[in-house]
Amino acid sequence: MRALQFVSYPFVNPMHGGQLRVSFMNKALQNAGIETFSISVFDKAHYQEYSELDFPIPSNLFTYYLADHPWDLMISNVVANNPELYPIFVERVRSVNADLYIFEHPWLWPLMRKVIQDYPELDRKIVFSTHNIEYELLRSILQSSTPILDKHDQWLVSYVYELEKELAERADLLIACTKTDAEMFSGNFAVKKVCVYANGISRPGLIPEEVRKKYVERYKNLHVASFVGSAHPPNADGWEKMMGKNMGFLPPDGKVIIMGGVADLLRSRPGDQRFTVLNFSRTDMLGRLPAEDLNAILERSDVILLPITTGGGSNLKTAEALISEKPIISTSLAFRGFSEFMNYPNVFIADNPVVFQEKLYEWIQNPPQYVLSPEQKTSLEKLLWGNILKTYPEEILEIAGN
Amino acid sequence: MIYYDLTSSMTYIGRNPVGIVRVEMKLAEYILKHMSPEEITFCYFDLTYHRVSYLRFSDAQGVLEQIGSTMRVGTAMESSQNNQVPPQQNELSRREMFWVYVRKAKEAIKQLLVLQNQHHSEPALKKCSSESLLEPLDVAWNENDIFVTVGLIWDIWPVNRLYLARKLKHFKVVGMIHDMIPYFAPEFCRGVPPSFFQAVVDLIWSSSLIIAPSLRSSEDIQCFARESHIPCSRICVNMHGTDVIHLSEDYIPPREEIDVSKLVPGHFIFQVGTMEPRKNHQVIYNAYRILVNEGFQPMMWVFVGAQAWGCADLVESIKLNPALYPKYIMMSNRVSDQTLAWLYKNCAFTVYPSFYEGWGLPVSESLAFGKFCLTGTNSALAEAGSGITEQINPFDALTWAKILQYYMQDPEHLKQKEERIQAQYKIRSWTQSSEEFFAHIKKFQREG
Repeated sequence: MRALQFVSYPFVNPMHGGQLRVSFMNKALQNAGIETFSISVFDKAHYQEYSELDFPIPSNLFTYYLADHPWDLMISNVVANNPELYPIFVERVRSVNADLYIFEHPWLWPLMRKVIQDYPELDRKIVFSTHNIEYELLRSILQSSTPILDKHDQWLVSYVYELEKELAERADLLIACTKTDAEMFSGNFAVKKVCVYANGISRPGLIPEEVRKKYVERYKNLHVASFVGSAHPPNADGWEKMMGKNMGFLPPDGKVIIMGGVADLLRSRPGDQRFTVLNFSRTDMLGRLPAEDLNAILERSDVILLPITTGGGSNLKTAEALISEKPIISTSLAFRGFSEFMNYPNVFIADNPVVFQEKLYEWIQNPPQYVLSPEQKTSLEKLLWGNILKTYPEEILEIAGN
Repeated sequence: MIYYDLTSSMTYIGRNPVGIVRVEMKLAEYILKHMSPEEITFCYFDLTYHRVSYLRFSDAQGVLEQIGSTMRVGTAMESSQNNQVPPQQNELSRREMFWVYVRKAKEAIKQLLVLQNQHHSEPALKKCSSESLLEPLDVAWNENDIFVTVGLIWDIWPVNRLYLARKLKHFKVVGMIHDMIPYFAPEFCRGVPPSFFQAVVDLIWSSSLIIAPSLRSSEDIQCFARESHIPCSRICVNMHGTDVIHLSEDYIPPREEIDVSKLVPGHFIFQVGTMEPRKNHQVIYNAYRILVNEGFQPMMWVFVGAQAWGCADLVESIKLNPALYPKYIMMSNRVSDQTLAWLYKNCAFTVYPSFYEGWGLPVSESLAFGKFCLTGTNSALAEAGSGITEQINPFDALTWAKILQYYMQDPEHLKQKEERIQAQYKIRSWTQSSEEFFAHIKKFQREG
């Protein structure tokens, strides 16, 4: 049995949430004896590490499309309309000779639709592995800058809606991250079969002593909270909404350590410039870090923040925060897919920015004292990828007819 | 022990002090005259070594003597009294020492800004060293000590380190916050140092007592703290002082400062203050245009003050207007305390149409000289005016024109106003203001 994944980013060295999900799903199949292959199509400038079958595209080919369209939406068109790239892509698909195609996100479906139309012999069973409800996410991103969408933006949203609908209805199996997403897909589209596999995590690896010491020393006089997020715009939107324009509510010895691509995104957003220096004094923007550094910082943190206010799917960072058993201050949206953990004693949910900030002010100085019960600890085990994806290979084999 | 911060004054050696530095200096003058080294010590933040250093009384006196060449209203009378600290012997070397300090302080500020910019642009991993991000300030103060700062803390003090030291050693911090104009009226605040809000917020966090120069500023500070969710400790008001220079009868302002041959005593209006959009010279100019267009011949409008940002076009427009300039408008960049006093003393009345003030010193100065003042209807101007001034909407040039004309045409009414000032206005000297300032601190010290 040979499965071929189509992805809009490589995942050789998975860092962001999407890469991690794709990577773990891939491993789950491999562990069950399924041969897996993947073709990732992406802008060469964005990723340095990729595998043999991957399809890095020179940035200049995107120039025409980027002016008006989000990058993901246009990947298929860039390859499909390029007389040099398209035949190479077809040959790669053909060379794998897969029994089944798995689409991670819908972005490469227009390209494969063309391939199947041009070469019907390459048609296969299809699994649509959703990560979000993309049209809703796109709409909320666009509306965050202009609440009333113009015709162009409306067209983009409806384009993505049609794309998701088409692939969801064409797929033999649809995989959703959350029950809510699954209900939306099966409620609105003629979906054949839906399975829910939430986002999971792996236990943090061992932290080398010198790395642990480095951060203990760095934050020795401080109360620290941490926020980890990728350079996904909703992460920065949520941060700005929940922290407000002025972080003076944190004492001078309170800091939020910001890790991941979201730090770059926040640096590039000016906000209210009167408070830039003040806000920088309350944050330590470390950006992308090796896993061991990230784990050392999470271990040192007094509180973990999950200020997510837009977007779909379930948040891997939520699972990572839960498994750390640290105090967590979160929006309810960040707990989508993890609602059973919302009442844990270390979790505080606030959608009102002022309440969120007040709790941060309180907990960063006086972290709550609590002990998780054995049942609660056992429930946390369900968050590990190994447990979440137990039945995934069986579903794939069933669809493939093996 | 009380530790009084003289850092801002030290960085103004050889320069004309701005208002906040003047307040720090006035309180320092009071300390030198009325307090003893057993109860209070002068200190400053030494940017060269990044530590707190201390000054003897004689050194502090030396610092005050070397700031600016002209102190505005008040200095002459007070310093003529008999409590002066004797001049120091080794003055030259001390002066040199201060200049070295100033130079190093400026370099250090530049480096600080460069580092701050780098901090936000360097790749994350490069700057993520194992060094601690925040070390407490190394001071040997304890729970019986009070650190008092009234200066430009955002320029130099690492207030966050002060906060940490205070948490560890339990000394008290008393900080004066002069106004929150950059928060409530940011449109008038070009050139506010980027570190302003961090320093003010950290000072609010650090202070056990905050002192504001007016009720309005105190309300503004509390409102800012409330809106920013910062716990704000005790806050009290200590209004600034005003001192009047007694001029000799035959004093004539020098021509290089202002050409008074074109002024008829009692027949010009006077405005003092830096020329910048917040001070709203524009509304008086517009009112004059209205009056002259209507055929009225107004009194000369004399305004004195350094030209700051955003006023070049206005000055240009005034100079291009032959109907008004130079016939009805006279400008001067810089005058001595004596000339300033002469202008107050000889004007018909004063105008101060500012959009926002933490206190409004020119208003209380005007009243101290017995002169009626027309002010804007906002911020702390009513307090500075003690209910004796007349307030006019600072946007409304038509009303300004009408009221200016009224007082220019009606000397009898103006006389009544001056009589009322004479009867009701109590001049609050800097000595009184300083006495009350330290009374607040001593009360706080007693109560703990």
